[in-house]
Amino acid sequence: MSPSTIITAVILAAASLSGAAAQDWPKERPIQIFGGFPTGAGTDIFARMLAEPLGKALGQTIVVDSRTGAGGNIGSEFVARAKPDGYTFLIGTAGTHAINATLYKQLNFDVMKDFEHVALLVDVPNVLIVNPKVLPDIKSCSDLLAAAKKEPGKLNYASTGNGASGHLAGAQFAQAAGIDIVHVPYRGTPPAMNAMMSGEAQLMFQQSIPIMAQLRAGTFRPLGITTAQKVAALPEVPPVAEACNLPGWESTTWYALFAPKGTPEPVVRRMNEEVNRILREPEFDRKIKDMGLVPLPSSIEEFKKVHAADIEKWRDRVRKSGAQVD
Amino acid sequence: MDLFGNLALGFSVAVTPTNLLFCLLGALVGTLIGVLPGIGPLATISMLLPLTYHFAPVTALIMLAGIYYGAQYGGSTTAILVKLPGETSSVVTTLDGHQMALQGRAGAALAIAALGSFFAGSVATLFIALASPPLARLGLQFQAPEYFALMALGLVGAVVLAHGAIDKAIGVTLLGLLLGLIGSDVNSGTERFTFGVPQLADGIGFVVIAMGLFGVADILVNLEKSEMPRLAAVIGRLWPSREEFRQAAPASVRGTVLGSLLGVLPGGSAALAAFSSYALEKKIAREPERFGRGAIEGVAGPESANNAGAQASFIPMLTLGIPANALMALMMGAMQIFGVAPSPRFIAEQPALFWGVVCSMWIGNLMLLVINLPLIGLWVQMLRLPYRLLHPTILLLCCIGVYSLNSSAIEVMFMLVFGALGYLLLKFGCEPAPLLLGFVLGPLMEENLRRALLVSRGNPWVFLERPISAALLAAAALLLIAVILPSFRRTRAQAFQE
Repeated sequence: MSPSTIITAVILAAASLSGAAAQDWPKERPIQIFGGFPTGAGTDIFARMLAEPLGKALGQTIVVDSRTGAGGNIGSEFVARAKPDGYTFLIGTAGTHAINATLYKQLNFDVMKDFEHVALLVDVPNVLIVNPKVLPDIKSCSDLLAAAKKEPGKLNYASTGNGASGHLAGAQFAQAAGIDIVHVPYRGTPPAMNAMMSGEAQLMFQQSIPIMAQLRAGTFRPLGITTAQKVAALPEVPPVAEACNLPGWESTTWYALFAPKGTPEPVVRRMNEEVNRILREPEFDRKIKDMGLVPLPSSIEEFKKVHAADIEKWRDRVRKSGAQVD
Repeated sequence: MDLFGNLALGFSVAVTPTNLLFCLLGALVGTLIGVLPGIGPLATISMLLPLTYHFAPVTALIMLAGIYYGAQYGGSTTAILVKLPGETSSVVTTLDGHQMALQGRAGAALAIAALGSFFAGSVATLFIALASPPLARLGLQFQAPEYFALMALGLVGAVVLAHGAIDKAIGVTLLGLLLGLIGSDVNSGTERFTFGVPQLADGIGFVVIAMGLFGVADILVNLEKSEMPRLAAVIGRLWPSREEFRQAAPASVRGTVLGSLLGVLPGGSAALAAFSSYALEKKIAREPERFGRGAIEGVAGPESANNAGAQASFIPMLTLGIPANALMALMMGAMQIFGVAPSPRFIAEQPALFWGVVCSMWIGNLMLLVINLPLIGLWVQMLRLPYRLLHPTILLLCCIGVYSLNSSAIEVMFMLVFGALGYLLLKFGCEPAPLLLGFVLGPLMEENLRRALLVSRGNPWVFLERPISAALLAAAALLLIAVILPSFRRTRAQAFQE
């Protein structure tokens, strides 16, 4: 037997082994998708929406669960340490897998190396909002910039917490526009929205999912969106880059599906294919676009590139914003 | 549309057979998880959520709402019978409810809790129907200075909660404040007292502390006694006496008003309402020393308040689209999945949904009363269980309950540590309830103090310039004087006697 045949035999044996594992998958037991944020949060809502068609396509029940705390790090670490058998996945975000890598000085896991990249899901834009009852004269971003420049240090911007994407977007915005606005952090979306309604804070960069109904009802006035292009659900809202005359400015986060490092490649590929197919389904597409999200069907390789680039991008933004935890 | 038209529409939605069935189902599940310590409505609703995807949105909401207010009914059962708060809002019910049980008045306590809850639930339903929009606007008057003042008032109330030495009550409250500081500081993002343990980054859970201080500590103390009081011997009457009704009724009315008002506040909760009601009852009682020794007002008031508060907390969500607490945020997430996310235009856009859910709440409360009253006889039989069976069962349920919160084994360990702490506190004659209130209110008070100063750019007068905040602070100051003066006098009197 020549060395090359031995190698071929070994490769074949290995392939048949992993093939056997992939053949059984996903029949053995329900698949779990964990999120790092509580039930009812954006990631949780999205995971539940995805779980239904994905479960149907795979012929297996998908259970959405969460391991919350420490800005999503508890959930990430939990999945990073889980058995890589194709039954555990994580819905991560640019927050948990890019921002936190810089924001937290010490993470017990590596956001890049401890995970298999399964599928990029959606872009989640932040919307720059003001309350028209509190600031009736501010109808556009240039009005806002003029008001902020006239009285520096007077306006407050709310965020859902230190180092949250809305905080970083606000800091990045203030810096680019050369204005002085004061950051007021809250514990999550509900109290921050309350502060926006009562006028305690005057502006905010808020993720689109929880405020779509409020925008339709006219409670808040959207002045700009943090994506480079307009989104389908808010056709009248210009990108911040254009509305505020800040060419090239953007600040979006994404949701994505990860698995523990070492999850069999056929499983990861299959999940990637199914997710991309679902993201392209007209009905699913309409549902997520209604929430202001932008579907991002992409290959595993594209996902890895976006992730690596975003870690760099957010490292810069976190440092410039001065945001810190621990 | 007028109120009657709205209610007619609401009832026409709520009494369809499907909706009635799911209302009953929600109420039943709620009662059950309320009785089981630690397993709260939050965990249950997030588990049951996927089942509701195929329902009509109104049916799903009716059931989920039923679980929530049903849990407030059930929570009092274990609090009264075995001094274990099933829900956070029933912590104060343990104080007098369990004393009543020890005196053979468990049936009366349970009946008053159920009747008080029903009364509060009915009034709160009417309240939502009549006054939702103006109440929600009132809630918006509350900014950081007002929250700070409210929490300050609550903390003074914490001292009132304790019977016995006032210095111990203050000490225990301060300990609660320190425990509340554990976790990330919201203003600066700095982690405090976490020792690098990621599970501590968001602080310690209320349930973890409550189960430890009440459930575990109580078992430890009981194990020491060589001779157990035979609870079975003191089962007594199942129905309150006329005198008990007379004492409980006004307390229940006051609790309902307080609960409805505090429930409307975003960030307010059923637990805060129950605590405040207890403090109020004790303050206005002619013989405050009866409290902690089986005063029925101490059961009627808080139990009414927590149910009213639970239902009123729907108001900011349904009328403004702002969830008042974590559970409402979850409900709102569910509504988003159904494509009916609430906003200030919700009532106008979805009248059938809004009024259907509101009317189902009244029906649900009626069902809960019918379920709970006959069960009293059964629950009381639980007291016949010998301690060698009861104690391990309670301990097991506490562990399961705490584990079910975040599926975290470390939190079960934390609970045991708090059990040991609670044991020490009881040994030193310290009441653990003020600790819990300090734990809940302290961090909120600090957060809002710093936020108020941040927004006012460091002007401390902001607390007195705003009328609501000034009034609340004045009330806190008065209460503080009222608490401290007599107890000083009493200590002096005691000193002279010796």
